[in-house]
Amino acid sequence: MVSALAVFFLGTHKIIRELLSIVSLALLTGLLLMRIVSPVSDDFTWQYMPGFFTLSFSLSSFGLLFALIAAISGLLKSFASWGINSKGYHALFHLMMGGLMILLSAGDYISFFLGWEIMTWSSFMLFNNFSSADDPIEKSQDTGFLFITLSLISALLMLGVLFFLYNRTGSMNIADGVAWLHGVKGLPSWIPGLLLMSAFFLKSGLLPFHVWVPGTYREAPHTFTAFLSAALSKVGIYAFILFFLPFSLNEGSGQISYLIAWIGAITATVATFKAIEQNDMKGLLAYSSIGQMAYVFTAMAVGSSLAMGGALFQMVNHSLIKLLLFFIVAGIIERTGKTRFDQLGGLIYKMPFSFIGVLVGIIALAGMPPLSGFYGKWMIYTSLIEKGWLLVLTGIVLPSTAAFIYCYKLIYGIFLGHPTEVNPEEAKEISPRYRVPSGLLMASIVLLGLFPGLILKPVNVLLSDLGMETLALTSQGSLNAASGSVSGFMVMNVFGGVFAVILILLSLFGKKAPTRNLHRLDIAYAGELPTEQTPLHYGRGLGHEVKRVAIAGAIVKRSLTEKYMKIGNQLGGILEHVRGFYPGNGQVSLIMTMVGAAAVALLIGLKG
Amino acid sequence: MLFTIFNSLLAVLLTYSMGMLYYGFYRIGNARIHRRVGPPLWQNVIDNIKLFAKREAPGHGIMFHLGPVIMTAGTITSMLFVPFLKDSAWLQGFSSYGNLILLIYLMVVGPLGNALAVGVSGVPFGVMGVTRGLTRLIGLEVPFFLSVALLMSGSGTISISEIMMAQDSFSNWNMMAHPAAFIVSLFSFVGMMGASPFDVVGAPVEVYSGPQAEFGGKYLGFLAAQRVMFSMVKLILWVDLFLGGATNVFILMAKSFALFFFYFIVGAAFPRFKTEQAVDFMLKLPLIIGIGAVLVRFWSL
Amino acid sequence: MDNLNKKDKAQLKELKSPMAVVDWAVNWFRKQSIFMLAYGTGCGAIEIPPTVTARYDAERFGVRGAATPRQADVIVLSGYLAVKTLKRVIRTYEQMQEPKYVIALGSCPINGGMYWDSYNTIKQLDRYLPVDVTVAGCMPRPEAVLEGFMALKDKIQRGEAEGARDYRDNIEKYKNNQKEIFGDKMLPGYTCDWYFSDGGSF
Repeated sequence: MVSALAVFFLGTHKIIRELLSIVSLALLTGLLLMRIVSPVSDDFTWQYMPGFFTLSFSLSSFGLLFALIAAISGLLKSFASWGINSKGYHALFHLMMGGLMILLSAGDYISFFLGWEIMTWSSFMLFNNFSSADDPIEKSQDTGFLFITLSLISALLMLGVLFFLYNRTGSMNIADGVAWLHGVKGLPSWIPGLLLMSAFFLKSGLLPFHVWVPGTYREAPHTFTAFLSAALSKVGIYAFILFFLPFSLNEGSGQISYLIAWIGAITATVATFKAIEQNDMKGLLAYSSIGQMAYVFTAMAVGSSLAMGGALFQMVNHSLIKLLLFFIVAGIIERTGKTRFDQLGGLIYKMPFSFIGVLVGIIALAGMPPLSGFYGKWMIYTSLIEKGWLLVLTGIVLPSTAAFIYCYKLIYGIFLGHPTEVNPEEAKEISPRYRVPSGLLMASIVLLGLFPGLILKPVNVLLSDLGMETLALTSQGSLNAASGSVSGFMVMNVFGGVFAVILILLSLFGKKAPTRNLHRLDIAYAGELPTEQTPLHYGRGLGHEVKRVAIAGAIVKRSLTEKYMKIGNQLGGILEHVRGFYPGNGQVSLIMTMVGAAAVALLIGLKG
Repeated sequence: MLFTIFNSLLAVLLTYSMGMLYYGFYRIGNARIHRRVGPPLWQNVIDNIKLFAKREAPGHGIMFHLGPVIMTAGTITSMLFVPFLKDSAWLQGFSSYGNLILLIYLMVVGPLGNALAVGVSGVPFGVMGVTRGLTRLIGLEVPFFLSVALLMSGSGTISISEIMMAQDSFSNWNMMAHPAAFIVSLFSFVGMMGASPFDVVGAPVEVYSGPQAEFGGKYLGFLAAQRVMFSMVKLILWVDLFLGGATNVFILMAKSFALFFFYFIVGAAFPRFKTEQAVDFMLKLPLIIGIGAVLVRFWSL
Repeated sequence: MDNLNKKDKAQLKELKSPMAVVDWAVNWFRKQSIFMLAYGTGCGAIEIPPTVTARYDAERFGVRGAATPRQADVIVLSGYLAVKTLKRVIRTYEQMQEPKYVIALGSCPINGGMYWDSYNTIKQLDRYLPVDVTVAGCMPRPEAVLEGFMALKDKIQRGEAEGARDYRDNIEKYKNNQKEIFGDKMLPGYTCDWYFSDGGSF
């Protein structure tokens, strides 16, 4: 089921390629869905060098959830990017998909690491070779360098810890290693635990390893960014659940959980203030992704059933929202050729569908009540209050309040205000390719807002697999916690009802006091006469005054990326002659490192 | 169901008339402080009706039209999720379906909806006002959330009715039981009511009255009406949370007027903070008190 | 105030049809709540602060300041108007929402006053804008300004303060007069095009 996909790809004709891509992804989705309906076990093992070790694959319920997210994102993404991909793109994409599937169904270290690396490398090639950046020479220096270096660090950390675990347990099975990690108290389990955790944080872009995210998201092909944000950033969470979730349930590791919760809160704060500063759409969404992922980690650190449910809800939600927003942004970039807020503006009446799409997206992203985004946050907040972590709660309220600013900036910069470089007369609605998946995503966000309970059933299955208590489910429309409940169904209906009544009232006034539609320059402007040249659009500057707030200014002024680059440069100076051994090509030397690592792995394997 | 709808209408009427009365007092009170006579008590009602009686209104397309509607709908929805009275079937709205966290977020829906209309009107001053409002919100929400989180974790529930029910005698009022939380929340309260020193959002001279710059006629009428109702919702929320709730409308009015009087005094006495000063202030003194209260609560046990 | 109320009651008794009562009531609300946009054009600007502050307290008559023309009911032009200023004044007036009124203070807007032979001030404001009330004097003191407001209120109550309607009906005349002094620096079309058509509504 899994590896069949990875080796897929021979089509030479363009349309065949696209079709094959979609069909295979649909097939994958279908297969995964079938797993839900009829839970047949398709675990299988493969003897590699018989007698030494075995590759074993089995898809747990968690793996299934992540695989579904990835497959559906991939399917929608393939649909959205119909016909705009160059040759080789699909092969890499499917290679990456295959790596992801191997990773998600891995039962032992080798396949886990293999999947991890296939995924990392193919995604690197994807964003590097098919980059959307304007200037291909200038761009990939920093971004590619950061991505490679950090991925390498992450891989080496992981490899080291995995060998350590193998050394200790004498088994290649992940389950054994996890059991050992939780069985041992104190320092010996902390150090490998923390190292491993850093590797996963890196993948999900948590502080202080977030530096690769913005550049990568910005430069990846537009629809691939959607996939990066919706599916790949979740891999870190999957690995975290796989290795550590029992940690936070373990009484002895309270401090570590608390630390992780704070890492989540601080990451969210930093990412949010950075997001407000961004002047381009994808950069803003990239930082917002970091922030939203951080909430998930905070929630997982809390460790109660409610928090875990909140984390999963938030995660699924984030996938839906980011797919939607990145698709629409991709559509807008395709139509207008502009990426920055100071180039766009005033497109609302020309692109009503995209406007509504972004509106739904930001309402859910900001966690406003009538839509689904609120309920994930509600579960997280409630679990924090029940746990008594009020300071952490304060720590995540700060970024989620500040998130309103970047949400507003996103919608204002594109659709509201005044047109700047895009002539509104020529602007057209985004292409149907993007509209269809966006429509589906919008519908599911609204549906989850109306019936937040829908997600509890699968969540309960996962929770019981983890050995946690399941969440109470009274009706599809509401969520319950020990300390209170909320009914999404009622909230939506009350808001809708009141909205309708007031709209009717207002239109009654319409008879007596008609609204006069004015020219867009006919605005209250202190008696002055703005012209087409007057800079009336506030897209770039919006949110810049947040910088004057002490805490935000301190965050925005500092750049971790620059510090890393500085360290990197100094290291580079020291290692100048060491580098002489290598052919001078980064990729080759990395491949050599990989080969070396693999050799070491084999050696240790032989010894063991 | 019919009873609930009737109750909802009653809540709207009650908050509207209470709000107009209180703000009438506010204007007269301010006039007396300036040693003026001041307008009649019902001046706000007259202003509001006059706005609805204007013959035309400026418009910038359908989104501009919907902004004030979302704003008012947001206000009334949050009103319906606040229980007005305790031990009573009356004026409960839909509060049994919601809770405090929901309400805090519901209160932001209206202003953000209106921000869309401000954005589409194309007045840069309006957008500046919106940005100022959102920035200020960072400062207001953080201490506020900390104080209500103390309450919620203290009473073990996030339901407003249950928090209100738990305060059965004067010594059990949350302002007595959790004085630090109450003090912290008062800072946010003054800010959320939009009084000085936190009134930089709609500064008439600097940003041309901010978000309201382009609204006139019936739109301004709706905005003015929802503003007083929204203030009453906040007052009632604070009465519910900290002042022990109310068993009938008169006690509700007495308690909320006490809070309103506090707001009036603060507003009359202080000059205005700049946006970032407001946030910095809120993230210093109130936040430190709040953190201190949390530490005392969890580490002295 | 008492006098006014008696007068109101007397007027109300004379009304016969229900529609007339509604109109009367609407006018009563309009006159009791006047949002003023004080356009400090000339020396009269100094008379506005005492009018609205503690000494003369215009707020007791329902007169209060408005921040933008969209919210305002009356524009108070306090003194002479340079050609440059007039352009902004017209712009501001056109942005106000009907019913809207103009109060002109001092002799300059009436006949040019001491600027009768100036090269760059206009002499007669009502050639360019429909003035509802003019308060003569050089400058009128706050008492006189308040008296002007009272006169405006009377006019509103009688339903005669319809300068805005006059402006809309005779827009050609007003625009031609404006064009005479502005020449090719006339206000751009988008500011007043809707006067010549119905304007959209929903």
